[in-house]
Amino acid sequence: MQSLIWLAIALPLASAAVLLCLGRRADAWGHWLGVAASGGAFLVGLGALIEMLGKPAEERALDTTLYTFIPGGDLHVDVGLLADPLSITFVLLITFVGTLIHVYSVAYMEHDKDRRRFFAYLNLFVAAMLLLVLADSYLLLFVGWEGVGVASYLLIGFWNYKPEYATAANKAFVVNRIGDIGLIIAMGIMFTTFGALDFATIGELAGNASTATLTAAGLALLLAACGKSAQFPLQSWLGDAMAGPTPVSALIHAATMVTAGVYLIVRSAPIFEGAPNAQARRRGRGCHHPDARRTDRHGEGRHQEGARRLDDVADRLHDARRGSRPRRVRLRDLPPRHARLLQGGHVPGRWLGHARHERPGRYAPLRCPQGRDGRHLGDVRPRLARHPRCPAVLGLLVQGQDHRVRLRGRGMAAVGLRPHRAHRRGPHGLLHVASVLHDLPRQGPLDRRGSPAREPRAHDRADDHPRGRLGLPRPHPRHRRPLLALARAGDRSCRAPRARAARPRHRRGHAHPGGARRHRSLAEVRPRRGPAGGAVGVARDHHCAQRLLPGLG
Amino acid sequence: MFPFLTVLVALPALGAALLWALPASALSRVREIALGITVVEAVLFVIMALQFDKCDAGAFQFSETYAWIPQIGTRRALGVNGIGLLMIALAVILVPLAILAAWREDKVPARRRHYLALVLLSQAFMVGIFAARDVFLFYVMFEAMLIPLYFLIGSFGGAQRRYAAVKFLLYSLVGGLIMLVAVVALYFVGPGGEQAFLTDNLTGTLDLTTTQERLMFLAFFLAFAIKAPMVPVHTWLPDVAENARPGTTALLVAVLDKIGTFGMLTLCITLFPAAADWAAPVIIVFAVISVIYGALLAIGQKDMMRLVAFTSVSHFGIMVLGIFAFQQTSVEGAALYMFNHGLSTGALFLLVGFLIARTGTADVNAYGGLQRIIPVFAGTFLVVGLSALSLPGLSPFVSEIMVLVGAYPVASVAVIISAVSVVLAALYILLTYKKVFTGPAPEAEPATARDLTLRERLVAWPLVGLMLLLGFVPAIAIDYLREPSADIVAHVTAEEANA
Repeated sequence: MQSLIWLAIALPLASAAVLLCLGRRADAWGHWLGVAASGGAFLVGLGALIEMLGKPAEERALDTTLYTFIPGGDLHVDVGLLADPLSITFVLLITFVGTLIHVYSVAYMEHDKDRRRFFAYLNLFVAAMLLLVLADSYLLLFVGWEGVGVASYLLIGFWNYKPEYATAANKAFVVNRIGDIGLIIAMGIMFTTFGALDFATIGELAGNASTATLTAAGLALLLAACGKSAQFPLQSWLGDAMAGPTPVSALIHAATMVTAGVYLIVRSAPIFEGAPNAQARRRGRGCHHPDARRTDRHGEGRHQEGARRLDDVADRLHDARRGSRPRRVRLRDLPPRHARLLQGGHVPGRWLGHARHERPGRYAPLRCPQGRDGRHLGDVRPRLARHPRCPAVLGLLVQGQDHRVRLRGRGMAAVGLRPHRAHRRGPHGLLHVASVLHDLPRQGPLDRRGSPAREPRAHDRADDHPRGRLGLPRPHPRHRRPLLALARAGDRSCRAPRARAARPRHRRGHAHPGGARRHRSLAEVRPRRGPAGGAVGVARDHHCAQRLLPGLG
Repeated sequence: MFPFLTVLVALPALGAALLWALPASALSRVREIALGITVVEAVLFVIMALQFDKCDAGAFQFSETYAWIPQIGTRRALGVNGIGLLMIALAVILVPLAILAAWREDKVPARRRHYLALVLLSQAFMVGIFAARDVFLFYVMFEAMLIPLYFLIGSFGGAQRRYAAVKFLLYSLVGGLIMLVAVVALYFVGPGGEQAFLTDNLTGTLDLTTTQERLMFLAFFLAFAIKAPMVPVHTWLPDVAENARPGTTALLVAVLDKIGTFGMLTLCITLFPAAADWAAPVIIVFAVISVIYGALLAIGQKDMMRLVAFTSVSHFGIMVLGIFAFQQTSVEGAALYMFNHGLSTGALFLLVGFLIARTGTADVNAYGGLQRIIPVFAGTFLVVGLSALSLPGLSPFVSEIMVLVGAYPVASVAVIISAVSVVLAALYILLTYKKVFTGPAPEAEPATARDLTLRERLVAWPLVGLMLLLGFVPAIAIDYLREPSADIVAHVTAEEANA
């Protein structure tokens, strides 16, 4: 049932569509259809809960991808539903209370000649709310988020023949939209920093981002949550919103809609954990604390968060004295559970050398290997460049990512083991790895410890980066995404080599110009993927990788 | 191979000639003939689109080139890439709907004939411009298109229509003439020879000094900025929208104005990437001004046609922001927005037109409580209005969020300011809806109390359906835009790397 959780959204949505399209023809039975759809969604949620309880605790989350929503070159978003304990809790809350309110409304709205339309809006609301809590990315969450907003607009203004009720509906929607600005900005920050919008990727990478970035994202999310949950200073709409019929007040304002903001904060835990300032604001606001900053300074937070934060605080105190603040040591950064995860995109800091080659940090010996995304291999890259067997290492990277695909297939994709999104995109994965390495020749000289020497690199110049061009501060070098526009023009379904006469292409099986090959080429290192489409993809990959890494193939 | 593009351009042009040549006895059937021609055009387009290879959407397909004026090296070169295909789709979808929407506009058959023939002629130019691969051909179509439009605006519509038509013509001519200078200059600095104006030959091969390149870029850009109304050269649009017929305005804003953004993408940036890169910060500032200023003015309008026109100024600002951020995602989003905005604004103009046809006024304050008497109309209007405020589930949302999120890495301040338009959009749409449709029911007049008729449903609902489809499955359209956008971004990044 957990994989059928999409039915919980589809049932009320379909019911709303039927009721709105049929119009008066559905007057006689429309309300019962609405009740049935909401009840059906509750049963689906209940089934998912029962199935989930039968699993061991760490395998309870299930991410189902339905289809590709935005197959862009840089931004890739799937319509995926994440059924984990948190979202199922909310599903049950929404559908249970929602169904009761549906039943209540059957009688309450009996004398309204538009009762059918009312039930359509109720169903729309439930569907949007479920999408909100089941989405596995911020973008999809935003779809549900705004859907809830418009459904509440329709419900509050249901009796809009009274002008003041229509005004109340407008007010609710507009004030909510002020909060939505926050969510849009947060998505912009996340896309800039992490290159993706799904919770899994962001959860994995949030630890690598700077505190300032996370604080900005956290504050933007907080603005959104304040809008939806009617918190100061965006609380003004809630009072007027009681203009709607009573069941609406119950559904929206007591039971579900205002919890959406809370859900957003909980779901964004990785962001807030890395952003103590935003967290303090949130906590201070929640309990109406007069001085949010002081709350954190006195360290109340660390008692609330459990013992594991204690070492963070000690570390920060120490660093504050030294005047620098490297990334905090976290004892919870445990090594990956599966040995094979040591390969592939998640190359741990230590894997390609001794711990003393780590980024200079006082606590390096304490640091356990930690999973890191291939994109951020800032410190591995220079060593790799000097590595006499660079192509072979690259092959290992590629191979590792394929292990993970198989791993997923065996249903071991528990939360802790989820691979980076990019790796699921087939040929993209190779390009992704290639992208990590593509500026190898441009790396500066290494110092004795194997770290890149400190003088600025060519691509760090202000005029090189688009942000510098616009006179804006450049992002932290570790978070810069390689410019992959050339290489990324295509996806799995669409990988035919482009007919460009000027540039020679090397197809698999053809002799390479320029004599015998010394290394196995990139295209061959990568395991075969499938029928004809895969072969074409390999040829294309090779073509791209050659352009990025001259001298490799 | 069947010359699809030539036929798509020629068919409406010949249709216009046919309408003018029609004997007086057949004049009563003129609407059916015009509609038939556009439907045949649409069918031909669908056949062509099915053969389009979207794995290679970045390259020009269905290419045809014929010699035209060999002395100056222009060729009649046609071809479409993914972006051009979507734009032609927009023209092909909206023209029959506009004809259907104007079904009862003219009582005199002779006037009806002129109107329909002019619409068909402008459709021929629209398709031609989006399919042109030769800069000179593009320019000629760009200017020639003013002729049918001038007559469409000046001869059919409200009281001030002559003033609006002259204003439109002057603005467009100024832009066009400046562009002509750049086109002539292109001939002298370009490769010359048989194919001196072919875009492929000009891309990346021009050897210009920095000053030359910047001047030519600005000349092209100004023409396109006037066409895609950007503040401060937008002032012709509200006057035209107020005075022209709703159908004309719908075509003008939904399809023809896209020539501006289309030209920025395919000519300005492709031919002069370094200059585009140089000018981008200033252009982004103007784009942000357009976004906010257009939205603010829209909130203040009493005339619904002017209101929709100002919302378009705001939306065009977002497109330009996306284009000149030069990010893969933002350019994809802007190109997608060009298509989605056509559907959304086209539908909005046509619906406002239906409202005006019922009561004869576009003044918001003259209405009230219509939801009680014409619920289907109100519901359709609300859905279309929500698409204009970029509600998720309807197609404009996807493109707007792609622009805003995609442009954030390089232009975060611009994005944050533009995001305010999300609130302003809610205000201008919902306040209009509130004034027109909510409130106590008015005394029913037979003219007003007519709910959406079958003909009007045939106009509005296909557009709504398309917006819903692309709102839930935008991948259908994005697949056509990924490769062209990547190519455009690659031109600029390559130029940055050189510099």
